[in-house]
Amino acid sequence: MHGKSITLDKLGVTYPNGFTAVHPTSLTVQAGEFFSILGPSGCGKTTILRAVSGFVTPSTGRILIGDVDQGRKGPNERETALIFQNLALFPLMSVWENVAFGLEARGVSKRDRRAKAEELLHLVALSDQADKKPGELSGGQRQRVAIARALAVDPSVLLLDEPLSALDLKLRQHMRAELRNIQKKTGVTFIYITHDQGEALTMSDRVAVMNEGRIEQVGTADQVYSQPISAFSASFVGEANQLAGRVVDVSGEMAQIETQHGRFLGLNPASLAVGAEAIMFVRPENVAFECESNTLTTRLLRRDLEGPFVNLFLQTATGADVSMHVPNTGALGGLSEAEVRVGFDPEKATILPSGPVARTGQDIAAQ
Amino acid sequence: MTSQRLLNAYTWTFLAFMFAPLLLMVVTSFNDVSPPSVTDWRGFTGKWYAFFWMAEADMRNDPVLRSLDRDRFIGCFVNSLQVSAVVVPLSLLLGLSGAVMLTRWRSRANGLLWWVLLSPMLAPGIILGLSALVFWGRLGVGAGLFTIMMAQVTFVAGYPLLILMARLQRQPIELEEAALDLGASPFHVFRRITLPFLLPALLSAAVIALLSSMENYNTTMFAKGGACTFATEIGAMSRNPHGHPPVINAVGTVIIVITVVAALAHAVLTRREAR
Repeated sequence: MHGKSITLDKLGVTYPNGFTAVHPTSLTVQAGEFFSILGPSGCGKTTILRAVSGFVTPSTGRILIGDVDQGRKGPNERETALIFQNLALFPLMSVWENVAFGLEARGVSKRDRRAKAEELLHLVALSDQADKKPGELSGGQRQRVAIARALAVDPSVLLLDEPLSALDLKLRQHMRAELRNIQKKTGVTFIYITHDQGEALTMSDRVAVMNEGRIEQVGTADQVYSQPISAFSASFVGEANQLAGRVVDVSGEMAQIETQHGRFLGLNPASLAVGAEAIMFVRPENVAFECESNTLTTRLLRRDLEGPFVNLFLQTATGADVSMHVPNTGALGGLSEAEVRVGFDPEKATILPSGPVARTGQDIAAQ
Repeated sequence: MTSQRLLNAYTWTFLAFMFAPLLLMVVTSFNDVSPPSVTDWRGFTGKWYAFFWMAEADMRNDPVLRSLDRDRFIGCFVNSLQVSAVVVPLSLLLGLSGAVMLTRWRSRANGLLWWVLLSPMLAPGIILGLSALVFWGRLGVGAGLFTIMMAQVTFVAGYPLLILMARLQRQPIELEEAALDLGASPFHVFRRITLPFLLPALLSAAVIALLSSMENYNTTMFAKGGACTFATEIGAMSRNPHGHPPVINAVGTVIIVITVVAALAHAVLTRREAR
């Protein structure tokens, strides 16, 4: 098996009802790369996947696999294999027949089909389940059957549509490692769709953050998390405290922002000019008790024990919510609730042009 | 408590009204008197059944049976079998195409199409029979078995359509997409994924189509011209001014038995389908 690159060349998709699911987007996924598209539901990520696999016809632009324009090729003529969110295993066929279905469609003899199916079931550690029906397997096993079935057709590109979302937490974490492993072993290009940032960050070589039909940022997991380039990226990937205001001073890589909660200094990667509307993002783990700059006086609203760290919810007198992660080393005993002085390092704060931000759990619950 | 009792009484009365005539019919089919009667019991006989296979001479000796035209009756029954042999497969095919189109090929016209395809089921049978007669007459085809088939198909196809649509709506579309994605041609997808899934529903649709074709009277009556079917012949025999021969009761009893067996088979299939 060998992966191939995928190029989206100004790909845009508008549905017949007039809804634009994907605005013209250009993107190249390298051959053999594990690439994730991360975004909230309805952001257009599944549409991109379905366009690459041939179920959705692009309204504009082209899709290339390797150097070949896919044009109007149907899903059964493309070198892609799609793993569906609900897996879509064939319930009336045995596990091995499921795995061998693509070969059956290509007219391979039954003996060769069975041999290839067994080889792939061995790869996903299901050799002893070949003659069972999918309904008799556990969630994780069904997952692996779906992967084996997709790999059986020697795809250049494997497209995965949130395949882990139905699994429980422990199994999900295990399958992440397994998927990564299979991808390394086979060298097939993976495009992985998810709304779960944990999945995207742990498995991927690169991640694209997507919102409302547009790709906001493409980069390694580290880059996307530590150096967000848009307000949406910063707020959707991981948690971030937000302080909205206006840029009042710029010097070199840094800028100062004036907010109703005070003035703060931070990185200015977007080279915002004085007067620009901006939001400053600070990760909860970068908020500290003892800090010389960027200080806030708050009171403690709530503390949640997360296990390895404690999540403190603070609020300033001006009404700014600040969330803070503190390692759970037992040092929080003497914390006074009435007055907590916190701050953050300017090098760990990012000022970005103001724009749409991801909805928080509170926003969603309030609907 | 009283309302419960009232409901019970109502239910039993309802069932009695429904089943008492059937029960009387079964009883009279074994009474040696014509026209059929329960009050005038003249002894147990199986001759109303044996009519269909008894020797020619025995038939001539019986005062009631000798006035009946056995060959014509059997000929009409064979006609019915011929009609359903065309109507059942044709309506399965039409119903299947309609169901696949309405559930898999989504277009804005679907709502309208649904009504167009199902309207013959709601239209009075007389109109279907007459319109088939007029339509094929214009094309130079005289009324007969062919027009009966065409007229029946228009409404019988609705049953497979409804049954298969219900089944297809339960099959996730992703199964077919996954098969297509793995390189199968649309025909291969249909044969290996869609059809095996539909098989139990196809069988029960065939049973229902067969029953409704065999028993259809009014549509057939208007489309038949000089031909006859099982149902129209029974109709003709029961219009006898001196009361109908108990042979019809015997036939009715056989039909009840077949229907009950078919209904049981259908129930078993549906249960298997639900799994």
